[in-house]
Amino acid sequence: MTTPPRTEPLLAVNELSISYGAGIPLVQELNFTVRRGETVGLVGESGCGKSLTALAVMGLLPPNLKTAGGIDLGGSDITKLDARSLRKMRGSQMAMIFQEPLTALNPVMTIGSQVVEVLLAHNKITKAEAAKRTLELFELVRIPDAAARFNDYPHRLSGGMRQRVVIAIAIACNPSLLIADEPTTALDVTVQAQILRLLKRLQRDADLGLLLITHDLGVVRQVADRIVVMYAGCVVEEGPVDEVLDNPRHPYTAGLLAARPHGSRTAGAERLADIRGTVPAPHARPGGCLFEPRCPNAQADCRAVRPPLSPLSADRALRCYHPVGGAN
Amino acid sequence: MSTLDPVAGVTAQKRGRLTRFVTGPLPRYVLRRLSQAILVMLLVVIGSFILVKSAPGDLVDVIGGNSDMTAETMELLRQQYGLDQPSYIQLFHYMIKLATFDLGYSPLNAAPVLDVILGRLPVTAILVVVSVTISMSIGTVLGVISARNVGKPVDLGLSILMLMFYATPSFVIAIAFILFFSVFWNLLPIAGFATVGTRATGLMYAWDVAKHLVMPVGALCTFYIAIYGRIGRAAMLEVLKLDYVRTARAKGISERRVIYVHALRNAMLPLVTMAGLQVSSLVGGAVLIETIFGLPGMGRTAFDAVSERDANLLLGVLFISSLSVVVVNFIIDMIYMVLDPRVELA
Amino acid sequence: MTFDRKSFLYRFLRHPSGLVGIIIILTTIAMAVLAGWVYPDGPWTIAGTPRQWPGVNQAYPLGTDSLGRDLAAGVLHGARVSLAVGGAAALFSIIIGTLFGGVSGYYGGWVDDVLMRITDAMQTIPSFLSAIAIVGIVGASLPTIVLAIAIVSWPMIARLVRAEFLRLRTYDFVQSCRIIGMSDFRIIFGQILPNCLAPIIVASSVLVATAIIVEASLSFLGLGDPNQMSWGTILGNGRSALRSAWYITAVPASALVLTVLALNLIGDALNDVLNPRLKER
Repeated sequence: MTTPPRTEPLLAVNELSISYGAGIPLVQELNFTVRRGETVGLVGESGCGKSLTALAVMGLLPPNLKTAGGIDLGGSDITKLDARSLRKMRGSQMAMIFQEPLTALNPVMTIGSQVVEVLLAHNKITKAEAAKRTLELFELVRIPDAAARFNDYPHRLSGGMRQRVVIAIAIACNPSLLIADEPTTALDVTVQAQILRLLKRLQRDADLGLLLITHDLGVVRQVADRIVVMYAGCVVEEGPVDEVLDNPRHPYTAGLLAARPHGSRTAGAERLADIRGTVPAPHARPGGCLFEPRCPNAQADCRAVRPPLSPLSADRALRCYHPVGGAN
Repeated sequence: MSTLDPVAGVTAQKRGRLTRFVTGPLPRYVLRRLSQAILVMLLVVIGSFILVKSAPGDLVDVIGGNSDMTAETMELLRQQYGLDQPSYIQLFHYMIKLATFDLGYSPLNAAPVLDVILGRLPVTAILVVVSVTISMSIGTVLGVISARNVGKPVDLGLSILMLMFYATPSFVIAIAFILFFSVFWNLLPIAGFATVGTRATGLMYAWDVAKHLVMPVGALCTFYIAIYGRIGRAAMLEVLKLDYVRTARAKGISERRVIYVHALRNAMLPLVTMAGLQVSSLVGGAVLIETIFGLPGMGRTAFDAVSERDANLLLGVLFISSLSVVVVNFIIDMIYMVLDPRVELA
Repeated sequence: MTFDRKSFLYRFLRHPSGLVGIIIILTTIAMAVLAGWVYPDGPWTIAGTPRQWPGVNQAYPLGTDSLGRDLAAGVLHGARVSLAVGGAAALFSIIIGTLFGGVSGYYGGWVDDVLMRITDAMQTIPSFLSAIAIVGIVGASLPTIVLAIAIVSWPMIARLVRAEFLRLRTYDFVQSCRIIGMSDFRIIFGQILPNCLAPIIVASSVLVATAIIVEASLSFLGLGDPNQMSWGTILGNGRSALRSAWYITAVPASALVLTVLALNLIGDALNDVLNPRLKER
C-alpha cells in the first residue's frame, strides 16, 4: 500500500445526518475525508447508510430525505448549492459508478452516445470531438475493438463490459472525486479483479480521490488506503486499511472480519464467528451504543450513553468503550 | 437519439436493424405473424358463416333482404350458392371465395363489395391514423406531466380529467362537440368529409377536409387520450425509479434531458404496445363517429349495410377491417423494434 | 383471497372514489327497481305536449321528448336496460373468459398455445363491428345484444385469468392437491379460481361499464332492441332535435356518463383495496 499524500482533503463530510421525513435518522453525525489520490473504503452491512451517503455526496438523494451537516467538495458545500450549480458539478467534479452494470445504462441508447452525452454536457466541444474522446475513453477502460462497439446497445455487452462503459462515463470529464458503490458485487470473480485493477490504475493515473463503497473486506484490503467502518448510520471505526484489518478494535469490525468466508485473521475472533442478531431498523435504534444489543463485550455503560468517536492515534478513531484487545 | 449520434454510421446501424427486419433471420417471425393473420381471418370467416347460417332465413333471404326478388330468382340463387349442399361444403366454398378476395356483390350499391369497400377505406384510414397519432402524443405529454407532479394538484386534476375522458362514450362527446362547435358557435361544419360541391384544390382542399375532421377526430381521441395518459403516467413513474435514470442524473445533464430523452423513450414502449391493441377498437369506434358525422368511410358503410340488410357488404367490411388491423399490427411491431433495440425477432 | 369482510367493506367505503361510485350505482339501481312503480305506463306512453323543457312543467321534471314522452320515465326504464345488459353480458364474458383462461393457464403447453392464439385473434377483430354484425344479421333483441357483447369481451378476462393461473399453479397448495390425487376440475374451480377472484372482481366493474357503453352505442345507432327504451335510444332520437331541444340528449347522456364513471370509480377503489401492492399503478 502506498502512503497517502498529506494534503488538504478533497472531500470532507462533516457531521452529516440524513433523516427520513420529520425524524427517522438513517445516517447520523457522519465524519470522514477523502484526499486526492487516496482511496477510502466505506464498509458496512447493507442498510447501514453507505449508499445513502454516496447519493448525498452526489446531491442525488430523493427529495423526501433531509440532510443536516456539511459535505465539502473542493471548497463548496454540496448541501447548500442550488440545483443548477450542483448539476454542473455532477459528472465533471464528482462522478459515480453504480452497483448494477446491467441496469445502469439506458437500454435504448447506444453506449457511445451515452458517453458522448456527458462530454457534451460539460465541455464546449463538437459532437465529432466528443465521439473521438469517447473512443479514447473506451480504450482507456480497455474495451476491446472500441470503434466497433461505439454503436452497440448495452444488452449486447457482458456485465464486465457494461461496467467499463459506466466507468468511462464516470471518468469522461476528469472528475476529482469518484464514488464507486459496490462496483464489483454483481460481477464474476475474475471480472471483479479486472475491474478493481482498472479502477486502481485510473485512480493512480489521474490522482483521483476514490470513495469505494463495499461490504467486501477483501476488496477494501486490495484497493483502499483507508477504511471507514459504518454501522447503523454511524462510523464505528476508521483508520489505515492494514492497521484496522490486522488489528480491529471495534467488536463489529472484528465480527465482520470473522464472518468472512476466508476464515479469521484476528485473535479472539473465534468467539465472534458470526455476529448474532440483525442490524436494528432506523426507527428502532437503541439509545446507547448502536451495536450494544449484538455485542459480545457489551456492559452497562454501553447501554447508558452512546460512545463518542474518539481518536486512537494520529490516523485512527474508534467508537467503543470496551474494544477488542482491552481498553485504550 | 439521432440528433446526438456523433459518429457517422449510427444511422446506418439503424438502417441495418430495419434491413435485418426485412432480410435477416426473418422467416420464423414472418411465419408466426402469417399464421396469426390466417387464424384471425379464419375466425372471421367461420364466424361470419355461422352468423349467416343462424340468421332467420338462409343466405339468399339475407342477401335478398328487402329487395323484391321473385321466388324463381331466389331459387336460382340458392342453387348458384350451393345452398342445397351440406354445411361443411358450403363453408369450404365460402372460404375459397374469400381467400381470393371475392367478397360477393352488394345489392345496396349495385357493385362488387370489394370495390365499394376499397373506395371507403381511405377515409377510415385517415381517421384512425390521425386519431392514433394525436391521442398518443397528447396522452403521453399529459402522462409525463402527471408523473412529474405526482401527488400534486396538477396530477390530481389531470387524473380527474382522464377519468372523465375515460368514462364518456365517443358518441356522447361527438354530440357535445356538434352542440357547441356547430349549433351554438357555428365554428365547424356539422358533417361530411369536405364541403359539398367544393371546387377547392391543393392546400385549400386540405384545409376544408381538416375543418371537417376536427370534431370526428376529437371525439374519437378523448377515450384513447385517457388510456395513453394513464398508462404513460404509470410507465413514467416506473421508469423514473430505474437505475439508468439515476446514472443519467449523475452525469449532470439537464433534468429536461433526463425526462424526455432517457426516461420517455423507455416509457413510450408500453404505449406503442397499447397502440397495437387499440387499433381494432378504433376501427370499431369509427362506425359511430362516421355515422354521426356523415363521413363516407367503412364504418358508415357497415351501418348502411345493416340498415339496408346488405349482409354481404356488412361481412365484407368486417373481413377487410380485420385484415387491416392485422397489417397495422405488423407495422406497429416494426416501429416497436426500431424503438427497442433489445427486441430480437423470434 | 382471504380477507376480513368487515374490514374490506370498511376500507372500500372509506375510499373516496369507492364511496362516490357506490352511491351513484345504488341510485341507478334504485331507478331501475322503481321504474315500474313510478311510471307504470312504461316509457313509450305519450304523456303531454312535446318538447317541454325540464322544470317548465312540474309533472315532467326532466321534460318531454319530440313526441311528448316523459323523459324521466325513459331514463328510469332505461336504467333497467343498461343494468340488465351490462350485468348479464359481464357475467357471460366472465364465464367464457374464466373457462378459456383457466384451462389455458392450468394445462399450459399446446393447449395454452392454441387457446391463447384464438384469444389473440379475437382481440384483433374489431369488436364493435362484430357486435354490429351479430346484432344486424341475427336480429336485435336483448338476448342477442347480451350474447354479442359477451362474445366480443371475454378475451380480456381470459388473459387475466390465465396470468393468475400460471402464477398460482406453481404454488405448493396446488402441487399438494395434485399429489393427493384431486381431479383437475376440482383443482381449477375449487382451489385456484377462488384465489384469483380479486382481479376478476376488479375487471368485472370495467366490463359492466364497457357493456353498458356498447349497448347504448347500438341503441343510439338504432340497432338496439326496438321494444326497449334504452338511454341510447333516447340519445339517438334526440339527435335530430339537437338544435331546438338539446336537453333531450343531455338527460340520458348524463345518466350514461355518470353510471360508467361510477363503475370505473368502483373499479379503481376495488383495485386499491384488493391489491394494495399495485396502488401506484
